[in-house]
Amino acid sequence: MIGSWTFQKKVTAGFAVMVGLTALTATIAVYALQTVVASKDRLLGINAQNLANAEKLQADSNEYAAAFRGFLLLMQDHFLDQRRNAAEAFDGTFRRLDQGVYTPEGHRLLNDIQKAQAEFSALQERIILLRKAKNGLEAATHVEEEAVPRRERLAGAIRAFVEREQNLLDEGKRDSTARASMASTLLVCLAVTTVLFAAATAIFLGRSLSKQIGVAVQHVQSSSAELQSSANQQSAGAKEAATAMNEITTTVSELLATSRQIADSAQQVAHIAEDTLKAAGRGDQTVLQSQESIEGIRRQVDIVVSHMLNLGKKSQQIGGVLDIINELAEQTNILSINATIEAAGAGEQGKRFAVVGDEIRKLADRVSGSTKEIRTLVDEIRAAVNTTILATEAGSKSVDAGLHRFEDVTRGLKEIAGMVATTTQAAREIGLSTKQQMTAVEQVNTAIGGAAQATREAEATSTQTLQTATQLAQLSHNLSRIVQSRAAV
Amino acid sequence: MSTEGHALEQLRSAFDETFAVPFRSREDQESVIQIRVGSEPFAVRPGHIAGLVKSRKIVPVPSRIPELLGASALRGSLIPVYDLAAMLGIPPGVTGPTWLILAPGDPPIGLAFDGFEGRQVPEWFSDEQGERQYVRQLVRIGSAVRAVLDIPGLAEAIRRRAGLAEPAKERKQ
Repeated sequence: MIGSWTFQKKVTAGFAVMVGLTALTATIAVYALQTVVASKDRLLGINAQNLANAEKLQADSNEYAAAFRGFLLLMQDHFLDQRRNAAEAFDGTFRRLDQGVYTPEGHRLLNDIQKAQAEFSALQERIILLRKAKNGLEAATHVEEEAVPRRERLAGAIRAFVEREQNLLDEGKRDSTARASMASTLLVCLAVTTVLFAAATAIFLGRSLSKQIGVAVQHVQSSSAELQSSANQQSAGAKEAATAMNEITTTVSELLATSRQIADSAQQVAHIAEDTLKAAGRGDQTVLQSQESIEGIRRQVDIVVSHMLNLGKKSQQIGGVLDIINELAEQTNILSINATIEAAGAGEQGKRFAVVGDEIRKLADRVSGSTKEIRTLVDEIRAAVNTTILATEAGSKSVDAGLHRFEDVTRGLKEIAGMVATTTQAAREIGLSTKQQMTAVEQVNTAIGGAAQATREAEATSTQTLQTATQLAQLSHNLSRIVQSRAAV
Repeated sequence: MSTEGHALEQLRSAFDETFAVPFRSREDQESVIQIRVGSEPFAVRPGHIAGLVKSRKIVPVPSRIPELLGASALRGSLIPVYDLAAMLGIPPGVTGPTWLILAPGDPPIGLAFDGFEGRQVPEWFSDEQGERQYVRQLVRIGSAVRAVLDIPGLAEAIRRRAGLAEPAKERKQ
């Protein structure tokens, strides 16, 4: 449970215990001192007084006896006065003793003294009476002889009382000394206990303090390290943010310049759109004229296609004629061969005919070759005609498509005119919007400047935080070293 | 002068030169007829045939001779027509035979073939007989060498198989 106490509570509890022990020590010391003082007072005030009174009582008794003896010897009255004064002094001392004695034994001894004094006084009275009579000296001497044991008994009683008081005084001294010794011993024990407890408390508090401070210092070190790391990251982030803010400022400046360019461009677009609107009107007229020209081209193309088709038909007819010629040439060739064969069978007379037949064959071969060339040429012509027809038809279709395109172009130009008007209006609106945008961008630029300043201040703050964290880490390190060294000591 | 005019002039000159050369100078210039049997080219000497005919209708007739295609009318008489490719052991052509060579005889024998490729004067003759049957000579035409078919031998073989064989006559070379 003590382990969970705070250091303040522990110190407070330790000091409370110390104060308690000190108060107990002081109380015991006061009590012992009072006890010793009481013993001393009793010793000095009662026993010593009793002893003094006892001795005075003895002296009074002696004076009383001396006055008696003086009277007996000299028969002078002042001895009787002296005896009476001594008796009064004795009585006074006795009363004081009776008041001061507090033990039964003392009272018994006082009673013995009083009884011996009474007997001795009574005897003295009888002796004095005898002395005053005739022959009083002898009688007195005789009685004196009787009084001696009584006087000695009184003296013995007084001595016993004195011894008793002396013993009481000695006992009081010893008791006072014993009480003082006991108080000293108790005080020494309490002092030792207090010192030991104070030492234990100091060691315990020191260890507890070192432990708690060490743990706290470790936490501080860990926290300072984390704070240092965070400050580093914050510093790096602040630097990056500052760099980014600079880039943003540059970008916004460029954006501002771009917005100005856009505003100028929008104005130029508006002018160009107006010019485009005029050009679109002129283009519409030009397209109408071009459309008429293309319709004329279309009619010419139709005529060309018709002629080319006619040319293809003629080429086909030529091919048919060539087939006939080729067939004739082939048959002529066969005839020439057969003529040659027949001429060979006709002997010598047929040789000349064979020559003629051979020449006819050659002519037929040449005709056949020529017809092949013509066929090749006619085929090429037909292919060219077909290609031309296809190209012309494609051109005709292109012309038709062109006419449709021109219609589309006309519509497109009208749409362009409408769009250009819209574009002009839009360009004006763009110019106006761009001016407003420029104003907004300038405000943004100002705001970003303030943000950049704040970022630089944050960077400075983070740098200062980093320095503080570093100093805190150093301080915690030093404190840890101090605490550990003390703990080691 | 244009190309056509130049060709016309050459044609006229060649025609005129024909009549300027003596007949005797032509005796050794015997030509051959180039034909195609199936897909193979051959040559035939004009002196070995009785005629060349194109596109005659051939009427199939039953026969024990598989090479006999049928009969055809020629100059008022019927002649047997044999497949020359089958006689030579050559695979037939795609379109079928459309030409006839008439082997001399009474009646003449028609040998059908696939194509007539003209008449040329060969550079030389060789009497080496080829590996193929009924080939008697070889001629060079241009850069090609062609086998000359032995038409009389073919006609004689056909007649023997048809049972019309005559005593052997000495053939003119």
